[in-house]
Amino acid sequence: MTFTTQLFQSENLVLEAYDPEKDAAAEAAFTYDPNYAAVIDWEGVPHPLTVFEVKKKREEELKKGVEKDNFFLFALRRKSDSQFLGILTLPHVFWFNRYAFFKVVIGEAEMRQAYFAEALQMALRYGLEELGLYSMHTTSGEYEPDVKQALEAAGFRAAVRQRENVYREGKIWDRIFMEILQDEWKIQTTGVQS
Amino acid sequence: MENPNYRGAIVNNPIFTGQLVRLIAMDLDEDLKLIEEWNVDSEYQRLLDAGAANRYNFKLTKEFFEKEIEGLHAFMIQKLDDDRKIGMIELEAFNWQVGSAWVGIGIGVRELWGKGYGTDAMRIILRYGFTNLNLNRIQLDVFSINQRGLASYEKAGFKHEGHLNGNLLKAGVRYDEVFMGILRREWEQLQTAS
Repeated sequence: MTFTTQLFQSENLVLEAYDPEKDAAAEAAFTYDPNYAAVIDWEGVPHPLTVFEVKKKREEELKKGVEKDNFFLFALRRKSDSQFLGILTLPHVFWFNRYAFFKVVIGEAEMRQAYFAEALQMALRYGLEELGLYSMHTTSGEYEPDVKQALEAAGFRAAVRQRENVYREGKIWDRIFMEILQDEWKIQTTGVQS
Repeated sequence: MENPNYRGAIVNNPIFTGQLVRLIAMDLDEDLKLIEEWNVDSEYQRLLDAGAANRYNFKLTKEFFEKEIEGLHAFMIQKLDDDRKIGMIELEAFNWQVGSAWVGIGIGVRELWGKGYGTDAMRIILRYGFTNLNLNRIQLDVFSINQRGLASYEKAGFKHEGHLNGNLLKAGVRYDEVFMGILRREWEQLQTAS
């Protein structure tokens, strides 16, 4: 008996330790997309960030993560050329309740189209198999139909609909919490109910 | 300490006064001692949020409040008939793009649970949020075990927006995290109806 699952590699992607020196510049460029900016500056008004701000924020988060042991941040890279695509983050794992909010974000539209679904599977494998979480949830909405559809295809359910809670492109949208349970994931991946 | 000479400005304020209670700014010397007393009741803490109930060092709590007070929109809930402070209510995580905020509430004095004080405090903060802060929605989360809270929020006008499955784990039993929200137009309708 051995562990055969590879958590940090999939067909086209690798999860690596986030490196502020290397990755902050790419992320700063991605923040021109408000859906990306919102994942770096959670409570602020989404706007393009300077490399300095991203680097500072990520360094602080990584430091806090080491101290608190409930924060995870990975750089998502393409295997073939190590190109930085985006991140997987679990900003606050509730260990005693065994659930977590997470985000997979990929900066460029064509990369998102090519790799978001694969990155999502890596996120689920890490959270549900390695961290042993009971459930994971993330947020999305009709303002990003590609992301929402990929979440649904991966087995996520729309669990909460916060009406009129996101503003994009001159319109107000619902914020949808998409959820998956470890049991649902197991049935999907192995066909066996625990 | 509250200056008795200016008491009229607080107690006669129409914005922060309800039928049973008024909301008053925190007094960091007096109120943190009250909060410490309430926290002895672990059920109070367990109903209040998803974190693990804990005992907090008074000095560190005070330092936290002194550092964070400017970013907090927290009030003490004070009974109108005898000026006793019985709980706390707070607006937080404002999203000024859409005009939304989270609300959190706790009645620390157990013998006053279920007597309408929390509902009254909630009605005051809704009125304040919608008519003075120009909010469009106010949201909260509550655990399914907290039937008293759920009934109170429904009475104040909140609508169910979904739930995350089993997010609270206590003594091996999972309870749902229920999300509720109220929009300004719904609140306005309630005012004309009553």
